[in-house]
Parts: sequence; structure tokens; C-alpha cells
Amino acid sequence: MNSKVIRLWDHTSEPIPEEYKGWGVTSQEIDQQLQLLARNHARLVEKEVVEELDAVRCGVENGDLPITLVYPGRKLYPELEEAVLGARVGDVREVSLEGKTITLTVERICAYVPAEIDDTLIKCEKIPNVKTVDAYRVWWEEQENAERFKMNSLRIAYNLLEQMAEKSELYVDEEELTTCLRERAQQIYDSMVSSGLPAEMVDSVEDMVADFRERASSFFYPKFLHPYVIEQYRTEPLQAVMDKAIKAFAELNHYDPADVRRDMDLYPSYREMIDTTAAQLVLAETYIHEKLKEVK
Amino acid sequence: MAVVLADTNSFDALINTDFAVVDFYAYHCGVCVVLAPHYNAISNDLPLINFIKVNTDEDPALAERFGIRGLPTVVCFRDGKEIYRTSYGPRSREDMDGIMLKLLYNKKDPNPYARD
Repeated sequence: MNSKVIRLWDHTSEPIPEEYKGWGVTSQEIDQQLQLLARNHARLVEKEVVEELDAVRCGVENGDLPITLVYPGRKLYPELEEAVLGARVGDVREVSLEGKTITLTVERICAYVPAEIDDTLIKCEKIPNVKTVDAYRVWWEEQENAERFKMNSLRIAYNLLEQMAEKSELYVDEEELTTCLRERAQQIYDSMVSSGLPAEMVDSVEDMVADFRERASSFFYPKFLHPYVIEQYRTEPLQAVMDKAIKAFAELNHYDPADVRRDMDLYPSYREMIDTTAAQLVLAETYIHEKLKEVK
Repeated sequence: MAVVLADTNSFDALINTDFAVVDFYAYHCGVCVVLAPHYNAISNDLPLINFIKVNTDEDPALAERFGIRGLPTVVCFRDGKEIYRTSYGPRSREDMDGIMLKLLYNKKDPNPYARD
């Protein structure tokens, strides 16, 4: 490419953004996770009298449907929910809805009761070597912290790359820019038309090119900026960096790494996404990880 | 109750009940990721409805059988028969509540993008 970086914006005095400070898992969050686990393993119990937050199966006369479920307290259909409160199985309630009287016959009343938060619940999860509540707390904290560390690093790195696109001194070859934007606009136009969208609802290629030109820092600069960042900051051989990026990209998107390797050879846009991931990883490893640990 | 992940073998048995809802999703679909916690939460809140998920990457045959063209697509069943679907980006508890209104009471889904 003729387009190139003349002077790269120096990110090394950039602080970690406020929203990422204090990212570590708290004890309260672990409690919430255990409660979620208990709700996921709730058991259904039959009840005698309808109360708030129960589930009520009703036969319906004069309504649109012969059977329905009513959930007091959820405000899905308040008139029905209020009508069944206090009812027992077999009770009949009449409700006036939009000038029509419908008759509800209560057929079943039940509710979810969350599972006890104990070692039995934890064993249901079948996590290797995690058999107790205490072990689960430690395990989940480690998992969640690792995930947050990884994802926050990538997000901060992406933000730095965006700033680099805005603040660096770049030489942009006008012909390359126009060709890139036109190809992208044509691809989008073709896919929208072939998906069956009426032509009048699809922007013309020229309109899209004009729109994309205003956002060249997102659409075009990464093509030459991100490989430059990788070269500037990598601390290991390029192949190792790209292998890591492919693995990370595949993991993030639940793809098979072999498919990612194949597609990046077939589609240039795929190659660019891997370059972006590689640039994010390089910035994360050389700068962000250390800073992020300080603000856990 | 936890959402049940269905595959081709288990799907029919899971929807052959009074009320069932199926979320056709994929990991690479951003809106699916946004919807997931709300879908899980509503499944924990509303007993007597089977909340099911189908990963369209892992089970393309089911996606093909139901003509899934966009993700996420949420499909509602009564007595095993499809009565309603929306693929117009449900992504919140409010969107799911709208889908429940249609499933349970045949009321219009207030989601402005929903198609009755």
C-alpha cells in the first residue's frame, strides 16, 4: 500500500479509562452468581392458594384462547393477574376485559422454589474438581476475573487503536481510499439487494461511499495502521503474534481456528479482522495488562 | 428453571407441551448475546413454559426446518404448533414480555418491529 503511518500517536501515557477501574469480582457478585445458579436449578412446587409470583394455569371461556397461564405480579396482563389472586384450584373468576366478560377456571397453581445453595447444588454443575460452595466461589472468581481481564484489555486496546487512527499523522493515498470504500459499498449494496430489500430502500453505492469517507478512520485506516502497530510493538516473531490472534479471534467468536485460517486466506476483510485482533493483543501485552492489574 | 438447549433429537419432545418458546441463536450474533441473560431470566420467572434454545451453527438442520433467516429468531408454540415468531431483534426483558403477551393471551406484541 502507498498509504502509510508517518508518525504514530504515543499511547504510553494514556491512563486506563475510569469505567475499567475496579474491574475485579466482588464478594457480592459471587453471591449473586450463586443465587442465579439456585434459580437455574429451581424446583416446581404445587400450591393451594394463588399468591404474587405464582404461576396459574387457567381454563378460559369467552376468551381468545381456551387455556392460558397467568403470572400474578409480573404485570404482563394486570387485570387477569389481580383476578386470580387468592383463588384455589377449581375456583371460577369472572373478568371484564374490553367490554367482554371472560370466565377463568383455576386448574393449577405452582411456583418455582430456588434450590438450596449447598454442595449438592454445586455438584449438579459437574465442574471438574469443584464440589463445594467454597470451591465454587474460588473457581468462579478466577474464571470471571480472567474473562474480565481479557475482555477489558481488548476493549481498551481497541479504544487506543481508534485514538491512534484519529491522532496519528498519516499519509492517505486518495486512489487507494476511494477504491477501498467503493469495494466495500458495492459489497454491502449487492448483499442488501440480493437479500430481497426493495431497491428504493437501499442507498446507492455513491451515497455509501460518501458516508464511508467521513468514517475513513474506521473503514480504511486500519488496513495500514494496524499492521504498523503490530510491527512497532510486537515482542515476539510475527508468526507467533498472528497465531495468538487467530486463536483469540476463534475463541471470541466460537469458531474453529482452522476455519479462521482458511477464511483469512480467502477473504481480505477476514485478514483485516485478524490484524486488528493482533494489534489489540500486542497493545494489551505490552502496555494494558500491567496498567489494568494496578486498577483491579 | 434453566433454559434447555435442544438438538434435532430432543426438539419435538420439548415443544410438544402447552406452551414453548424457542430462541434460535448463534454465538457470532451480537443481538443473541444481548438477549441471552434476559431469556434466561424470563425462563426463571415464568414456570409452565418450556424455554428452549437452538444453536443454529451446531444444528443447522433445525434452522433449515423452521426457515430461520435472521438471528435471533424467537418462535412460540402452543400444543406443539407454531403460533408466532419474531426475528426483529428481541433484546430485552420488555421485548420478551411482548412475545409472552402474544403467546399467552393472543395480544399484540408491542415490539414496534414485531410482525404479527
